[in-house]
Amino acid sequence: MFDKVLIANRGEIALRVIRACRDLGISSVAVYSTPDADSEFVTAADESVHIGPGPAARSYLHVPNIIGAALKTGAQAIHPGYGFLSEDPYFAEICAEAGVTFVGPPPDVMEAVGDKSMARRLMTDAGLPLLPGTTEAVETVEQAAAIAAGIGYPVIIKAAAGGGGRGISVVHQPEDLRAAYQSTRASAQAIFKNSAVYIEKYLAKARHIEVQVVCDDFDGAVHLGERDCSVQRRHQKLIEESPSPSVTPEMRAQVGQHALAGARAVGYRGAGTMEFLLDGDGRFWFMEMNARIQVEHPVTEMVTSVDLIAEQLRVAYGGPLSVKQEDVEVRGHAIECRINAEDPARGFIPTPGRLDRYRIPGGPWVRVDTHCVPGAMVSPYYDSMIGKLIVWGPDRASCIDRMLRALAEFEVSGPGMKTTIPFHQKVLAHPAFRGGDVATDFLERHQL
Amino acid sequence: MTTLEFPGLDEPELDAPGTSMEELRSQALRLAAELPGTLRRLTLRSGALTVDVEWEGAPPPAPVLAGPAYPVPYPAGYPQPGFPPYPTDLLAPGGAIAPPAASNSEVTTATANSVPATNSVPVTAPLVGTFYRSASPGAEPFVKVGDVVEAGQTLAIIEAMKLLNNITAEHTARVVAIHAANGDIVEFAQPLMDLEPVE
Repeated sequence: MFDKVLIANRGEIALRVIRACRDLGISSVAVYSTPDADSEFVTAADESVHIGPGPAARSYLHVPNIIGAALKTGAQAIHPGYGFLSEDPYFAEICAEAGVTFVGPPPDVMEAVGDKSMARRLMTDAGLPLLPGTTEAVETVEQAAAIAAGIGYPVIIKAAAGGGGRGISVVHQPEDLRAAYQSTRASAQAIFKNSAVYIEKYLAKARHIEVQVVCDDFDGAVHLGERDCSVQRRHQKLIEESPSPSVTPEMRAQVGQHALAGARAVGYRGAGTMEFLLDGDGRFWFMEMNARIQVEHPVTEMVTSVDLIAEQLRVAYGGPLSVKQEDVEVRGHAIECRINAEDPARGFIPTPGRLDRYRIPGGPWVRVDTHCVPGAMVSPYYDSMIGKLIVWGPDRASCIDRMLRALAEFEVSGPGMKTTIPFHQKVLAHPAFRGGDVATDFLERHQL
Repeated sequence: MTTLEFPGLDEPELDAPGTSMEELRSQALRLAAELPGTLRRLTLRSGALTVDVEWEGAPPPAPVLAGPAYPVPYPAGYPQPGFPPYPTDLLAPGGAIAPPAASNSEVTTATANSVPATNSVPVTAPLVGTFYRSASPGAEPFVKVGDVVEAGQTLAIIEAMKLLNNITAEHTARVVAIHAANGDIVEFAQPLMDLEPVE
């Protein structure tokens, strides 16, 4: 196993990876920007290197400084976490040139699945079910109109290089297509530096089901069940659970086989997520593949007892997975609520600032992945996540009850600070959520 | 170099619509022509109606003597830089940086050379990389403690991913301490040297 791993990230995921390293006897190196100098992940790491000022482009995205930090500390591998450089094939190539292992899939695989329209083509070839749409970038508005007319409205226009719910437009009628096509291209260019877009059929009422896979270099490929991430606002996930209340064991086996077929088809290695939409008739449709560890990975860990970060490190070192498909058992139920410094009453706008009061819940089967402590700053430079609250219960109903108990214990306050905690309490107490009747239009259909 | 404000320009009558900017400009130009040295910087603000003027030849008020603000932003698309690797015999095969030779590892400080460090300003690393005091191994160092350097003069090099970044003096100053050793990998904002402004 590696002796020393550098974590090219910040916040709760940096702390999560540091802890996995410590569990495996690996020493850890944190890199940090100036405003993060006193953050928990910096003090928790065995070593730390200051890599730049607050703006991410000059610190957490600054490749020469991160490579320099790895060389300075003698780290053998770089774990990119999620976001930042985690899905950047060029960064993975530069790591290889510097003699440092990138903890993630090979660069060419990242490049193939990172282009969403190319991924659609590869998965079609692998025999996965795909919603009607394009497998090539759509070049003109006339072409877009012809495709949309062919597959029927509503359609969704997505940035080929997109992710995180950004660069997406839903079009319900032909007269809105031109404006939506142009604005999606413009925002794709602005956010992802790539204006390519593709079009697919839009399912207004579908469940967002994603399957966790892990693959090694020895033909080992395991799926670890699904996560249901249907509670979203503006295509951003807020609550995730495993298993999905609408996936039967037979459906789980079926979508798991789809996920593994897709991962094998692209030569995947490491931890990845295959995202599907589940329609009202119980059919799965491949949406996209995420070539990284995801924010919501702990719900899978809670129901399978598999440490996904540890598996990533084992595989990156060139070893086999520690788990076989026949050993994977989904036990009980887990839910994650993202605790963000945002104001749900004002369109979830971020409310950065100082956490004067910060008291996290505890007790049995309650896990809080957070880098925050009392007095910590939620920096305006980065995302608004304060932490993730994950609870487990023997069944879904008791898991919801335990989550409500834990949310009631969670105290966060500071000047101007609002959080998503009251929002989560309303969703979890809602009869429709309790009944398992949750699709991606949940927030539009129900008054909270 | 000095920054002066001209409160006289901040008078209400200059705020009259249509005339303020024109008036401000002409007054600023007149002031600039009367300065005792070469004009370095002129800032006009129409809202608050202030003029900031910097010129050479005046006593320095302890400016920041850092290196270049940010010498080499990483280019988009990560093209491989065309610079030759530096210095080749410190680079292991494959581009990894070999540990520096022990003889290069001395750290020179003001105390060791008994140059008093008063009023000194630190030069900090603008990026993470390998710190070199000379242009090539065995060559004379760019600067030694006690040297007086001119604005723009190279103090050291930081090499990151085969790109050489010159660390230069912004103003005339005396080197009073050198904190980083040749071959060290330095962090962002790590103090490299102390410079004392020279009048």
